Amino acid sequence: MNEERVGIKDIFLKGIFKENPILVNLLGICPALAITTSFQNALAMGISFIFVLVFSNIIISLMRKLIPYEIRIPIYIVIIATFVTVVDLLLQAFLIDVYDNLGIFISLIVVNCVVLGRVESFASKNNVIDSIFDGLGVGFGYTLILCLVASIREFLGSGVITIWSDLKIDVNQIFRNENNIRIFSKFFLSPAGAFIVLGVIIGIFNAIKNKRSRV
Amino acid sequence: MNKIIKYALTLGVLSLFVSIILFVTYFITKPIIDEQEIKEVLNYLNEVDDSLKWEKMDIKENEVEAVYTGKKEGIIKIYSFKTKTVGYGSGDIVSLTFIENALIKKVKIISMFNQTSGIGTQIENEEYLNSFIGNEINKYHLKEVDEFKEELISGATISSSALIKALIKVSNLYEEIKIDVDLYLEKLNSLYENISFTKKSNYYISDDKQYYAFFLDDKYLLYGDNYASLSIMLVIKDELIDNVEVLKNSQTSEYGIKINEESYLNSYKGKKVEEYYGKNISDFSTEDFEIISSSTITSSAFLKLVIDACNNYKEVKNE
Repeated sequence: MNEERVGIKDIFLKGIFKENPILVNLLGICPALAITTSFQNALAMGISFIFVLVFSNIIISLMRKLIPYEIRIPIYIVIIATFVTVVDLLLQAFLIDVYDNLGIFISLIVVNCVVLGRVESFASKNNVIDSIFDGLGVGFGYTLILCLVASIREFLGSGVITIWSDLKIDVNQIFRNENNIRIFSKFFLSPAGAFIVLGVIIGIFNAIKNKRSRV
Repeated sequence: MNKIIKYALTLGVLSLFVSIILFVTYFITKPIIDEQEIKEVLNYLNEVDDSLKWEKMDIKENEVEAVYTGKKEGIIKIYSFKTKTVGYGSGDIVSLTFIENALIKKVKIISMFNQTSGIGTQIENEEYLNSFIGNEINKYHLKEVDEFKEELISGATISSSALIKALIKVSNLYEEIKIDVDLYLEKLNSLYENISFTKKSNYYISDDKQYYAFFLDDKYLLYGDNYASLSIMLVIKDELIDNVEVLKNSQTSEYGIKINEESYLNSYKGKKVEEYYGKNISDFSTEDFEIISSSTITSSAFLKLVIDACNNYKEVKNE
């Protein structure tokens, strides 16, 4: 019993740090660069991603002994696409602003290699409980980095961090100098800014990891 | 062979399973999504007429994203088409076209992407959009953009072509879905609220057979080769003129619009049908109230329609 609990914890934490899809595997970075112009977008994308990954993992783990090996990939894609469509419809119905902001990137979760990677390498070989925690761990790890990149980009780009809708942290007034020249640069909201921010985060992460492994 | 059947069965069962999930989700979210879509454009719809109840029709066609109907007492008054056409630089131009009685009532640009500021964005100018108002939507039916070169903005031909294309799409769809509204019946219902009318061959009759309504129009020579048109409604009750109204008068001059005046129309009310039945205009003179001395042509045309209506009434009664 004790061993099982430790196992689940490890599975969960592994997805956040040791096997973080963006920082370690550099997978699924397309939305990480494209939609991280605001914290709200990143959070919504992250939650959608967790939903798709966890439910795909559950179904595929349950069906793992029934799925013929030769046609497993089309089956995975059908299941993932189903949950992506569910998320797409739910966002369109209940969070239309977020839906408009995320646009095509919600639909593109279908081809996000993190999702297909996890169902192929983990859910198809493990039980449902482990698969749920794997989905949650990887999903949280992915969301964490999306939110971190978005916070830095939004802050440096506009001086604002949009937590959700009208709930914002706005430091524009503090950081304006006497000549009223803004120190925040829209460059960070551009794709080039996204690459630099993500690169710096990965660099810092690797530096910490190397230091810890040396210790 | 067994393997193929096994694969097909697996995929079949899976398809059934995901279909159920998608059906349930769609069933739950569809009404909310429709409501969201209406909310999104409701401000624009209400700008045109906020007394109408706007509903979304279950129609979606290529480049026509949504169709809304503005209803009053259950009758469609205005159609609104939301279109998305491609303009300059493959940028989308989203617009709303409002149609009332087959005429363009308003064209509104909701959003546009990639259109060059000051050039392509000229299609948003009030003056340009107003130039479409009053056009018969039928004018664009089954036509090509090239046939409307005079309606394009020079220097912004791609953007304005996208707007014309939207009108063509709207026209094509409008012709398919329009419900012909009996405007005459609507007019009578608004005037006689508690009385129900039925349409006969060329007149309307109340269910209690007390009221007879006639709708007549005529084109008459004004001067030279110029013709004017006039359309009237005349209601008869108990052999007396109960109501008379000018529905359309193409004349706008000071003299031409004299017949629209209430005092002039009221002077007909209560007159006996017999006074007009079988008569000619020459039987009346400018000294009679029927012909106004400063607008003899228009008032004569009006009188002719009153005589025709009274003759029609007698014919109906004699039948």
